[in-house]
Amino acid sequence: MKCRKCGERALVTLRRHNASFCKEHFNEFFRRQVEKGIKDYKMFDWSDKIMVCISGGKDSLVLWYLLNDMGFDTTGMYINLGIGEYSQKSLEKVNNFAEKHNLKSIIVNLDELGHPIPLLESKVKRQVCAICGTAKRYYFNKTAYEGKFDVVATGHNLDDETARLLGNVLKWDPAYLSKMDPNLPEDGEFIKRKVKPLVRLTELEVGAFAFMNGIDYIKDECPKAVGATSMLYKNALNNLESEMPGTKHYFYNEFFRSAADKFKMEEVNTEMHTCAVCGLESFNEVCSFCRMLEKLK
Amino acid sequence: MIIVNMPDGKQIETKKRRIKDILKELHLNENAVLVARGEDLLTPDISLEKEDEITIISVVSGG
Ligand code: SF4
Ligand SMILES: [Zn+2]
Ligand SMILES: [Zn+2]
Repeated sequence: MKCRKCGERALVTLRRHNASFCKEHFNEFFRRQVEKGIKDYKMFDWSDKIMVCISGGKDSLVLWYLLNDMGFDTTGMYINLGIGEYSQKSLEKVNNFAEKHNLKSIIVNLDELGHPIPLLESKVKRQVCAICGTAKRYYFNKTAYEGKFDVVATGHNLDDETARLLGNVLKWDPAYLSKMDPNLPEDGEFIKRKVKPLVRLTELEVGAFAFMNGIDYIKDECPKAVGATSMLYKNALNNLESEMPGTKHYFYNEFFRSAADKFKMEEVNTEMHTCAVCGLESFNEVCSFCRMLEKLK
Repeated sequence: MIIVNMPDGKQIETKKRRIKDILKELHLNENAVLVARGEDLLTPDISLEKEDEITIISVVSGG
């Protein structure tokens, strides 16, 4: 295959775009897609203070790298979950990356805070990823609020989002389907706007960008991710994509064009409280995270 | 023989030459993996040389 732009040997071929690219022109394509995502969904501009949620995986590091390179004001936020070697290795990748590119970062350490995920898992009777999700959401929200950030960006790509959409469609879950937008508005005082600038790019494209640009990310999966249903959906979508290139894009974009407004949640005026334990805004007297921590006592 | 380094660290050998055929033989979806030879990425249409060594990088993550 030859690069569509310059005729050099191509390093990636994108069947859904019917195009192949050399390194230089793939980088150009990739950056344009991110710019278009930010612009089309009005995610943020150069005056916004952006907190980027970092896991040490390819998506979050690529996002951080690019937003910084485009001149946005970014700070990386990493949560050390205390999941053995996986957490140690990913923290190392994040620290090395921040140092190499001279980036600002905030690290929250659940070990030091006394509630690493494995401890919570042993005391709270819920699926570990649900526990971990509650903890991550809490600290992302708290850090963004306390740091006076305007917007929180995550590295979710097209494969993540179409897999989630497929899962929600299979259950016809209106509450979840109402939250698919890659630019979710702030909610109350505490919860900041959440955006997903990589949503126009596939997992393969993000992986190729990381490889070509020497972005050193953690390749190991979290050991708790084994058997995640999201993998099942991703594989199914990739099989469809091979037979019908463009399926993922179509499925995702058409949802917003034709169906998303049917799942708008009515504004329920829930009275907000201040969590009696941590003092942050909450739907209940005690927030869901602090209620979870009570189980450790 | 062509040497293939798999995402799980295992090494296998194959007689196939074309990346597309190698992926098919290994039941890997071309949207789910990158194929590298050293610092270079290879598209599915590329045919390898006899003693080539390639590395398969999985891009699908579960989280
Ligand atoms: S896979 Fe690991 S990091 Fe992801 S939510 Fe589950 S426990 Fe947390
Ligand atoms: Zn080119
Ligand atoms: Zn609380």
